[in-house]
Amino acid sequence: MNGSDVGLKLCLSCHKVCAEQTERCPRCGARVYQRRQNSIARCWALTLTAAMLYIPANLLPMMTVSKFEEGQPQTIFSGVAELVNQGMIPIALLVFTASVVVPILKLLGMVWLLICVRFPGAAMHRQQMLYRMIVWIGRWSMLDIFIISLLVGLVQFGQLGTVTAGTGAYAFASVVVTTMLAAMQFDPRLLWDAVEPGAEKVTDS
Amino acid sequence: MNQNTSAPEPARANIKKRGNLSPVWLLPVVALLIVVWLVWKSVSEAGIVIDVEFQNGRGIKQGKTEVRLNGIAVGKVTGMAVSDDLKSVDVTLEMDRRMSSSLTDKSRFWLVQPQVSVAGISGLDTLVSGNYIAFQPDDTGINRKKFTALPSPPPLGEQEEGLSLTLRAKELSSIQNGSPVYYRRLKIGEVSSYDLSADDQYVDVEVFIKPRFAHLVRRNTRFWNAGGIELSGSLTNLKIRTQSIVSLVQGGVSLYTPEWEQEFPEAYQGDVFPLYRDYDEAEAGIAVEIDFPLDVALGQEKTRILFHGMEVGLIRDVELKDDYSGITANAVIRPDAVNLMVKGTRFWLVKPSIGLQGISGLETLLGGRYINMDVSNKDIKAAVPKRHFKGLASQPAASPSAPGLHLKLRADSLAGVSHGSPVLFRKMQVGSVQNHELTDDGVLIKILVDPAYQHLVNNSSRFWNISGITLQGGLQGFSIKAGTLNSMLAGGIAFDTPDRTSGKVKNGTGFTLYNSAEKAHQFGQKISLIFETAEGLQVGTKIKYKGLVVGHLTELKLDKQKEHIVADALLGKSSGWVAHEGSRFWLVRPKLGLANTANLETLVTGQYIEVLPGSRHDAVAKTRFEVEMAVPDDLPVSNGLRLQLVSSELGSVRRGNPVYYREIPVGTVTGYRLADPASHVLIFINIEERYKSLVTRKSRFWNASGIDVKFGLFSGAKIRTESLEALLAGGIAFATPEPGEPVAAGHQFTMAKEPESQWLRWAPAISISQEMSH
Repeated sequence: MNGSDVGLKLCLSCHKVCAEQTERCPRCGARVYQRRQNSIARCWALTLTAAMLYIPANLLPMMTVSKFEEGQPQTIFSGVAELVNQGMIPIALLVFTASVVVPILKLLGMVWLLICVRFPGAAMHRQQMLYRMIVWIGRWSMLDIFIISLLVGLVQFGQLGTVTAGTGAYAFASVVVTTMLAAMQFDPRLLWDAVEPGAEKVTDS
Repeated sequence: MNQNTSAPEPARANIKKRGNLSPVWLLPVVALLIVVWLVWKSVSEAGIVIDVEFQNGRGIKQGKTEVRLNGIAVGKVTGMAVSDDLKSVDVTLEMDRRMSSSLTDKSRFWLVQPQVSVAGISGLDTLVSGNYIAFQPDDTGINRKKFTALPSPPPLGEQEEGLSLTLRAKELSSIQNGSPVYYRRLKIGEVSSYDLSADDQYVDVEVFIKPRFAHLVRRNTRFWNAGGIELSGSLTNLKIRTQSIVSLVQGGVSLYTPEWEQEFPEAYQGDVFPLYRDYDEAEAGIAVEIDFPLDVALGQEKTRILFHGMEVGLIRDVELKDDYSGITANAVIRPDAVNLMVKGTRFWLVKPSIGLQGISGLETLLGGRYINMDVSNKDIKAAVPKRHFKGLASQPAASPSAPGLHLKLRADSLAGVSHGSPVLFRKMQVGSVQNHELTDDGVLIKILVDPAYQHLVNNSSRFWNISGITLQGGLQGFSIKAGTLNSMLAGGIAFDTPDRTSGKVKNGTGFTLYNSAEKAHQFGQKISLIFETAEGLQVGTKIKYKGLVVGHLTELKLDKQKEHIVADALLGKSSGWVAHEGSRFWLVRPKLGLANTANLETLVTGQYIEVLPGSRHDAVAKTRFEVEMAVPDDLPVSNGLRLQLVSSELGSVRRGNPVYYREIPVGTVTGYRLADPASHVLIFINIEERYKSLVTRKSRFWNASGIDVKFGLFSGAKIRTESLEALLAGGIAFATPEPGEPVAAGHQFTMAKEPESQWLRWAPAISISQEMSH
């Protein structure tokens, strides 16, 4: 059973339960929908965007560290490789996880969720779990960008050493942002509809 | 939806049929475009992978070492591997795609490392940024993918567009690769390489001139080795020439283009120039040969050739002639002095010589001996070029056509004057002695008066020798004469020109060189005086007229035939009138006697000759006179009245005794002699001009000498004398009874022994004043 069954829908802004006919939340004035409009399509679009941006994010240099001389631009992977070369394996792992594993898992998770909505099956609760994880981990994916922005701000010693952000950083940030948006656009209630019978009506709306 | 359809009105109206595509799909499209663009970009910008074989991989880092073209990275080392034969290193480079057309078989790679050497520090940038591989593109060859790196950086010249020249030197000296090439001490290029010439006879030094300076090199540009320190000169005139510390250590080449040849075209790529050993050699101009006698020792390797103090060339080397008859000096004359190398040019060696007569060539003691040269204007104008000259061992006389006034001075002896002695005018040097030579009757001295002063010489000029010190003296005083200190030592000639308006003289005019200024100024007439004896006479004995010197003796000679003394006398400038018929000369000597001491001053001043000129009216020139050895008796004192007294005996009358009138001396006894029939004595007296009127025909003369003592019984003793002087020396007194016509000269009176008493009472009022106004 869900809200539509009892003629109710939820304002996603202030979580007020409204009557089915209401278009705007009487409390906060936000539009109230039974289900998010075009959620699946948007989610797909954003996920695809993120997936494509993930390519330059890994190919383009994230940042350039200059010490006395012109430094070599570092991509995520070369940075990790450098860390490994220098024996800082835990940090390399951390960076690798945060910068490579997590975005990929997010993307894959999103694709998985979307496929599940399209082709409903059992164990939708796990997908719910997955969705929550994706949403939760989303903000932490900005770790790299956070570090880069910190370094760029802090390490500006002129000729001695500078850190400049590369274009890869923008791509990476875009990947993170688009995956977060994708996750936000995804209406987890669709998962419910997928397992409930008659869910089609709701998705169509 | 089912519920919605059942719902009342508004819901259906709100339903909008949405488009098939949500605008959100734009995002993946944009992302796709970005990705596609990136892919295309990375593919299109992907480098060209080439292989370069290095001899060793020192200093090359994989993934780090850049390939730079003009300092800009155009590639990067992507891989390194030891070559198959283990002898070299294969370096894989990823080159910028834009370089594709430049990667040909003519392109070159080499490793740039920091280098610190005496030549300088290069590749300093690599200290910080690391070594890099320099790339020199060349797109004229065939494209290749495999290269061999140069073992060392290529010569500078080959890196840029510049002027490459070959300098041909006899020896390399301190030149190295990278030695700078200087123009006005500015580095405009460097030595790129050097090698023996093809025939092994020279060293060919390849230099590269930066393109910016290429125009400075012309076909006549001189290159010389500027390396090391060049010391030249001697003692004080030491020249140290070095370009810079760098060239000191590293050697270097300097170049300059002679200004007088600026018209030459610019040099071409690959021109061959001689590389001179040093600056002086590079100044090379016209080569001339000068033959010197064997005894001319051109000790120094480089003897300068001076022309009026200006260096116009130098002696490069000296060699013996084949027949050992002399030496031949190979000289190089500056090109701007080429006009001086004409027929008539003379060269001579100037060396220091110090003698009693002076110091000459003093400057050579310090500056080294040098060759002086001279050429007359005429020869320059004639401009007959000559390259082989005969050198002189010492300075020749100035060429007759040299500017200035050439004069010949005749002198009896050289007397300290020597070559180079100054010719002074008012103690200022206006010329110099050029030459001197013996002649039959003395010495001929040639002098040259500087052009600026040649107007000072004219016909009236007098030259005299001022060499050494002239000491003249007598009891009256000494006079020491010296010209200048220089003339004392080195001798000298002075001259002056009393009459500036006199006629100008030409070159070669002869003058007499007098021994002293006095002699030089002895103008006037020369006369000969004949003496019986030269006793007491000397050169310089004065001739006086009325106490004034009118001339002096210049020479005493013995006339062997006639056995008398002939003295040459020179009359003063305005005393020529003395040398006339009728003039009488006599010697005035000191006279000591009881009664007559005369001319005592001659004891001090020496004897002199008194002259009494003849009458001016009937002047007939005469230059030979006999001198009376004593004051003539009948001294015809010109301005007095000459009278003769006839006496039976002389008594105590002596020459010079006064003639008294009223006890006042109005004349003197000038002489006496026996009359021709020796029955009586003639006494000559001279009455002074002013007292002439006192003597009339009726005048009576008596001998006033001695004492007239009258002793009477009643009258007592009466002692009478004219004066005490007359008492001692004797004298003549006279009295005139009345005014009358003055007697003519030579009138004869009879002298009484003693006066009659009435004579003493005569007191005529004879006016003498009117006679004075006469």
